[in-house]
Amino acid sequence: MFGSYRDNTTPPQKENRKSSRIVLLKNTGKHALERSRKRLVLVGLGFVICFGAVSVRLVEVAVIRGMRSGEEAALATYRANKPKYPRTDIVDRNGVMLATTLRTASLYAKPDQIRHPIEVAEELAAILPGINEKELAKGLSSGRSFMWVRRHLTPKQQQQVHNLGEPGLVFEPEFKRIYPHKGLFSHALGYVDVDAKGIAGVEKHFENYLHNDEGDAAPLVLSLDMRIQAILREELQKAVADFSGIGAAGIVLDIRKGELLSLVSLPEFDPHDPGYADPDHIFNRATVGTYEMGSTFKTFTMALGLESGVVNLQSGYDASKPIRIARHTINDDHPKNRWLSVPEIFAYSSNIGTARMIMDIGVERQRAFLKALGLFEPVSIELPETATPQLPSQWSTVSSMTVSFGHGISVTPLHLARAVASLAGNGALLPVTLVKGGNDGKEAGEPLLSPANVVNIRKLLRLVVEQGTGSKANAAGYRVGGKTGTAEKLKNGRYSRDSRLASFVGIFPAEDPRYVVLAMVDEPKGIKRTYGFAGGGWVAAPVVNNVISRMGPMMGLRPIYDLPSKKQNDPKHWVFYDGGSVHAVSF
Amino acid sequence: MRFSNIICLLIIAAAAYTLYSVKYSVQAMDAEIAVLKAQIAEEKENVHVLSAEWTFLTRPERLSELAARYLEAQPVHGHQLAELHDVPFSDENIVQMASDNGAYDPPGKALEPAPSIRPGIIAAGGARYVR
Repeated sequence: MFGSYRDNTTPPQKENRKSSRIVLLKNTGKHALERSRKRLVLVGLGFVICFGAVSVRLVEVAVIRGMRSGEEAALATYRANKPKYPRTDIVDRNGVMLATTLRTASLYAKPDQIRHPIEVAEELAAILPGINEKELAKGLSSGRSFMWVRRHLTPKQQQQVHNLGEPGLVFEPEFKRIYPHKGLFSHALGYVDVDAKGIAGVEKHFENYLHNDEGDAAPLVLSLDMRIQAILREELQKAVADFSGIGAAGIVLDIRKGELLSLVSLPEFDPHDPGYADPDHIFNRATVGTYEMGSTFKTFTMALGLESGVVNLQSGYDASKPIRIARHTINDDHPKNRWLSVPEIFAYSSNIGTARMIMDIGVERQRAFLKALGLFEPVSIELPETATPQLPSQWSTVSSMTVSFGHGISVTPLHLARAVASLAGNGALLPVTLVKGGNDGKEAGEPLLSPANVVNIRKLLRLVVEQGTGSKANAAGYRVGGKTGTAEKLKNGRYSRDSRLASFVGIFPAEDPRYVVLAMVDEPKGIKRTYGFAGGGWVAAPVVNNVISRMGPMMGLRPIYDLPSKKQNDPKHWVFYDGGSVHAVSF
Repeated sequence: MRFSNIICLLIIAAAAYTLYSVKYSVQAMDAEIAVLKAQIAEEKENVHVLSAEWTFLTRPERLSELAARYLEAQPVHGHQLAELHDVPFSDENIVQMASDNGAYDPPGKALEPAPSIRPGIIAAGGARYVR
């Protein structure tokens, strides 16, 4: 390239200028390169500083602060899991609010921002009753970054804490489940934990529905009726108080729909504070308590005897002598010491007659029938609290006899109410529900009784109230039918005369039953007014009478007062109203 | 040409003014809506709290206690119920109207009659001792 310059005719000066320009160019390039290198270093340094700062911050956050931010992390997790929308309301069948959710505030502290922990603890203790001041002071002095002080403050407490003006005390907005009826529905509704999660009753069963993340669910409509629940509870409370009982259970069941209108277990508890309640109060006697129900079971033996054709309303058994079998003696509580017709056996609640009847029926048929009545399995209902009945370990002759009148088998009151509703209703096992319309569209099960025997069972139940042991359940005008039960409770392996279970399961109106009303009082003691008696006829039958007298008009049911008077003490004659006309029945 | 330009400019100016005024009024309305929404939410919350309180104050045990203290009313008894037919001046048309719109169940509708039973009579001594 340079050689070509010599041969060139162009002036050397020009060539010189050109080459010097090249040199010049070379020099400026070198300079620029150095400058850009410097700049590069500068930029690199900038990056190093920036990323270094980020890394330092990362280390600080993740390692150094991470060690002491466990408490803050707890708050963050809590916030992430906290329900975003208030828990859905629960209402009764008429739309009365049973459970709702209100906004409240919970108080937490940032102890590392509190300068005078002792004083703050003292002030807080004055506002929040029941708080442990020493523990609180200790917590506030710990220098941690987060601690709960108290969940769900009342608006007044919140204002008072606010007025302290302490920056280290912070409110967390929250929801609280409120039960406006307090204990009235405690066993049916159940309760929620401090984070508003259902942990018992309907609250637990419908947790997924009630805890919704959309915030748009319609209220859960239960089949319960607030008015009837209040009546049943009040009448049971009176009975428990009068007879010094330790508890009670009550059920009102719609026979046509299988819907529970009322479910009571006493004593009840405050669902806002289940933690403070006695476990015995939380125990649901109506759906979890299994009891030997006693004579109410004779209803099933009667139904089976009639349906199997072993007996009819005209046949009967000798009940003049107790049955002695395998070291056991079967006696009657209301002994007549003579031959008794089938209706008499039922009306006078004869153990002897019932035991003789079951011998003719046979244990296999008995077991199959009781099983078909749902007495061997837990009742399927929208509650987590159910119980499996306790059956005889072996179905010997003796156990078959005792089961025929309700001993040696333990079921829940709900089992009993459902079985009676099934037999007196349409003769097929009735599904029960706690939700309004919960059984709509369900097919009726296999019939256990023919229509004729359904009518017979209604008549027999009516007879018990009209002329037998259940006369105190005879609510005027409402044609009550039913069966009394008095069972001795097994205490330390022995049946005790002093701790008994008095029950009555009633249907009304008997000619076309609409409702089953069950009342059971646990360990009633005899009183002067009842001449020392504390059986089902004295304790539970009046409860059912009062409940029916009060709920009948409420449900729009028509009382009928012009039924012909019964012939006193003549069990071979009874009066039965069948909706159209009144029959005097003799046999 | 110049005249049309002036017209265009005027139109632009008018449009700009309208746009801005509409925009600002919309913004003002948005703010108003937000305030109203917040108020509605607050009122709903208040209604909710009050309905909970109402339910608490009208719970049956409290009402029955208050009624026993201040009123002479008694629980309704079956004796106090009467049929529309029992009212002396009751008109068949009224009864029909009431039962048509479901306000009244005439007898025989509410209670479906069970199959009637034949009075069975068994001769004395017809008792059978089974077993």
